[in-house]
Amino acid sequence: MLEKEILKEFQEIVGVENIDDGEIMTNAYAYNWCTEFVNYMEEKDPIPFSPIPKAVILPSSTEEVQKIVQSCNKYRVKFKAQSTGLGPWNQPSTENSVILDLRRMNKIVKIDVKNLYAVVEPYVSGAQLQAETMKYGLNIHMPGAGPMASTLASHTSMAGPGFTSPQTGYSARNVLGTEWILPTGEILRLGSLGLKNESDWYSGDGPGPSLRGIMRGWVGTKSGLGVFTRVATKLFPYPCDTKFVLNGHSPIYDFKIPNYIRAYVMDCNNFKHLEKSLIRIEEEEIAFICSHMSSYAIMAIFSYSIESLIDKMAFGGMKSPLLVVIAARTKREFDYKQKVMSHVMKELNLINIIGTRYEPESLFYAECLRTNLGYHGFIATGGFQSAKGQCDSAALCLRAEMKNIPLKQKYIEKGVIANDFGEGAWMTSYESGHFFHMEAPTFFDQTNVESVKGMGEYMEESNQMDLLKHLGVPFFIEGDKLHNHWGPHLMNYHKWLRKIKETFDPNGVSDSGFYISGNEGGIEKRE
Amino acid sequence: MDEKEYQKMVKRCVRCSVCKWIPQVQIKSQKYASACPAIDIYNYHPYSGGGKIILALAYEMGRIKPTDELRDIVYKCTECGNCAVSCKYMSPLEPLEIIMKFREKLVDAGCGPMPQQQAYIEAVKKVNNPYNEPHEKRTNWIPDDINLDPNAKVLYYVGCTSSYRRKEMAIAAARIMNEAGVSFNILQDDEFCCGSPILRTGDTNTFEEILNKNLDVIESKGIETVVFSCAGCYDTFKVDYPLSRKYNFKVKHTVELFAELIESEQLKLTNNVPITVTYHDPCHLGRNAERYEDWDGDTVPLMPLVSINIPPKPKRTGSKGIYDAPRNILKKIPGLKLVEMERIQEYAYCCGAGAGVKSAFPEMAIKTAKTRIEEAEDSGADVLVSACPFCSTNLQDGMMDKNSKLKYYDISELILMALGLEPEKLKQAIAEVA
Amino acid sequence: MSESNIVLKEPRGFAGLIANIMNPLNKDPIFKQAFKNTKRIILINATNLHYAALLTIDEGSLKVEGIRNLPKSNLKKKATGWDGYVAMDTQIFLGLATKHLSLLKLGVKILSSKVKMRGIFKLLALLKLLKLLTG
Repeated sequence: MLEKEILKEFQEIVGVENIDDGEIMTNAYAYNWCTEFVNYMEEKDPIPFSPIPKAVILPSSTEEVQKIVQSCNKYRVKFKAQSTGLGPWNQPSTENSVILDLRRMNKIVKIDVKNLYAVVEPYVSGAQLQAETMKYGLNIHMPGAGPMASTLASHTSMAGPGFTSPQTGYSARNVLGTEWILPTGEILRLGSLGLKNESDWYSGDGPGPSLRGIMRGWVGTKSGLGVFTRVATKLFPYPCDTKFVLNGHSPIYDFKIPNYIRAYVMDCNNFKHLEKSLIRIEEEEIAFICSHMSSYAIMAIFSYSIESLIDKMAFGGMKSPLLVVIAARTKREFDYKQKVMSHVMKELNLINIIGTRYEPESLFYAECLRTNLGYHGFIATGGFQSAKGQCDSAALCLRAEMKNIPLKQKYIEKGVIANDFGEGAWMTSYESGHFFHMEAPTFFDQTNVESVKGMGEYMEESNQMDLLKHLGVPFFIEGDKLHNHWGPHLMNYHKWLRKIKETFDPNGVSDSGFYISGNEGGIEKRE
Repeated sequence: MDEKEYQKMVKRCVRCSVCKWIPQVQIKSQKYASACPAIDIYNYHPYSGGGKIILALAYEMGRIKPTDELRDIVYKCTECGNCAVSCKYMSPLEPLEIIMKFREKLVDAGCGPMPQQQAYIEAVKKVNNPYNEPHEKRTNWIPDDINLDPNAKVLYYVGCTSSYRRKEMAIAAARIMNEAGVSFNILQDDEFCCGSPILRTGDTNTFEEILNKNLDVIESKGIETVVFSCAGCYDTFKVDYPLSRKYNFKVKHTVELFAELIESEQLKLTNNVPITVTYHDPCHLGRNAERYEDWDGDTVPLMPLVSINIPPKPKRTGSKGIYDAPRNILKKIPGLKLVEMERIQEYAYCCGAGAGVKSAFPEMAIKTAKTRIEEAEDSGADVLVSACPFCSTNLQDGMMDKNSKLKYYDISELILMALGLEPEKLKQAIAEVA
Repeated sequence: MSESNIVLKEPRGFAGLIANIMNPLNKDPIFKQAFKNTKRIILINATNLHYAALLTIDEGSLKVEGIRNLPKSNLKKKATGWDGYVAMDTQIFLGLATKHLSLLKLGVKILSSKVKMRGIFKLLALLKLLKLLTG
């Protein structure tokens, strides 16, 4: 519970009904997915609860957020901002904290059709924004986490690879003007939003040196450098006809497949050929989706339960599967893309099993367009998280995947993670092969202590392997311990990161549990 | 849900928040993306389906105690089941059943139901209805010209809300059955509350007593089919009663019966009804009206951590609710145009009244109703129609509060109009609380 | 077709799983052609579970029945008249079915008794079936 004086100050900012420091509320907010193995990795009890915050606050505006942050500085209470809140990086690292649940900040501020951007507040989900932009024939980038995740959170604070990345890029690269409450409580407006005259949202860089790199860093600061209250994100042409009609009932809706969309699932047989195929296909800049995934994952994306996965044994033997989806708005465009695919497939000796050995439910195409494929990762054991997370060349990504196989198999043998034969991986191209992302989804049982421990140990060993075998930087290098470990191997970046933190957050109130703390040379352990 | 399954499931929420939204692929706009009235109004995560699962886990782990604050959060929920539809799109979790079981536990701990709900439970025990109206007046709705057949094998189970509050619906249903030549009877003084408002508060002991009493009465009369005009009674008899005690008679909602009668031309809809309507799917006629199916399969551990069910366990996804029958009826009414809201069928937004919310949290009930009414207005309809007297009450209360230009009719009233008969003008326009 | 009284009415557990996997082959013309002259009874026992699958191939059609794998006498040849018998845990079976287990690795597992086989040549039909399934 908060001290009376602090509680009163927060109540005056947001209203009595928008702050709760009771045991019930704060306990509920202490829970999150994957918190159990994060706890284990920090030598704590492997339970799905983080430190319990002192209060949960629901601000409704930038001004309220600013005042809360200023109060946090005054009383040296840490704050952790969250919106849709999926994942352990939404959790506070200390009990001396408050959670800012940005649910009440849910406006789509602007859709600029001419200049192709949309401005959103934190609690606008990807699906909501896409549904609105589709009305103009436009699309957005959604992260692999799914359409229920916050667009703003992905763009400003956390990773952001997506299935449609070949066409819609990576969240970090789609950020335009940003409204940012710094840990000190100052409001910083990035890019063209910061112009004195005629400020607008169309550019994320300048005036002067861009601060987007500081905002995003490698994967975002996960509430470690203040609160983002509005962001402009790039819009893209919707890939096909925007009519999105589903009949029937949950879960297997019958989707009226748009005319010009087609899926290809091909086995490249080995990693060398897969690398060649990925690059070659992406060279042609025709793919809406271009993802490599393991044979298990290919089975999973066409399944809605573990039972229905067994029917897909036909894919189980694929060595290096590749999923490509092309989509077009006109017949001419579609004919062109199909022709190109056909030509490239012939060149690479690839065979499409869709339409021959397998025909997906129509719903699959709806899920491609709505970026709901990642959610299928939960059907095996109910829990999964990804090791790796490289963002690099195709060659490096695949090398990381290959090296990971025996490591994963070691933990599979122990029976602590599910057996996907070590191959569990998802790799996507960004911006038509500009670069690639790879992560290794790993299935564990969050209710089984041995599995949680095994998952934690596997993640640690995977991170270590990435470091020692020069496999690029994985996603989850976060927190002091990991940054202090990795930094010396990477030109001591952690010292610079720490300086940024100290400069932007002199009082250390923006929860740095998943970022870095400002203590010079010190380690701020998560409690 | 048995205790073993409950203990397993409360540990499995991944806090993905899909429970707050309608199925992701069905989202057509930002405004109507939401599934959960509770979190829409109260905003804090524990008000969502997933949030309540987390509370259930915290309670089981002893991290939180049964307090008034906990009780209020858990009971600020209409148990509409929309969270379950979205969650079960891909997950085997059962949010609605977890919430219901959690309420049972709170009742056992002396921390539920809400005082207002306890009051109506006492009324049911005393006078067989939650409105605390005299039992003798239960059949006052019957006009003199309704024909009842004491030997009929079809029983019209009127329900408390139609008997005491929404009499126009009971009268309409009875007139239609007469018009179609369907021989039916009613239970008269032997009709008691179905127990739905009690079950949903977690007082399963009282519910069991009511269930047995009702089934004893009906079975003693050799009834073959029981027809309901109330979605709540229908769902309770169809889905909840068989979990405790099997019975041999069929159950039907009036929309199912009337759709059949229209199809077989026993009812001829000839009168023009030139209105544009939108249909609200009651939760208890739609997604929740799906029976539990027995499963006698095996859980096969394929490998460590991964098991599958052979054959697959039946999953109640809301797909077998009654959606087509009312729409088919509406499409057969001459001159009537049906337009759909964005959230329909198994992902329809709740009216806001269920599971004791109307009595314990009337402001939540009205706010939710107003959200639904706005959606109806945005559909372009000038009439909102549904097939449940409790939805009717709350939606009409919401319309009044909002000064909506929409009219409300029960589907049976529209059928009466199409038959050239006058719907009963006995609507009570005052705000209702059970 | 087996007429043993230990055969269950419905294939349960692991046998049900094998039935789900194999039954679709009955609609596959390639299977019908490839097995049009084959009569074979193969018993597949999941050593970590409770049921074994009795797979009967009968000149272009197949049927999967289930038997309990205890008592052990149920698994004997005279109980169901099998031509080939293989016993392994479900993970190994999945590895085989999804081509993640090479013949060499299978050999290693046989040598280490993780996989037991009788009537090896008759069991080749099973490998052929799995190959058909996975294309």
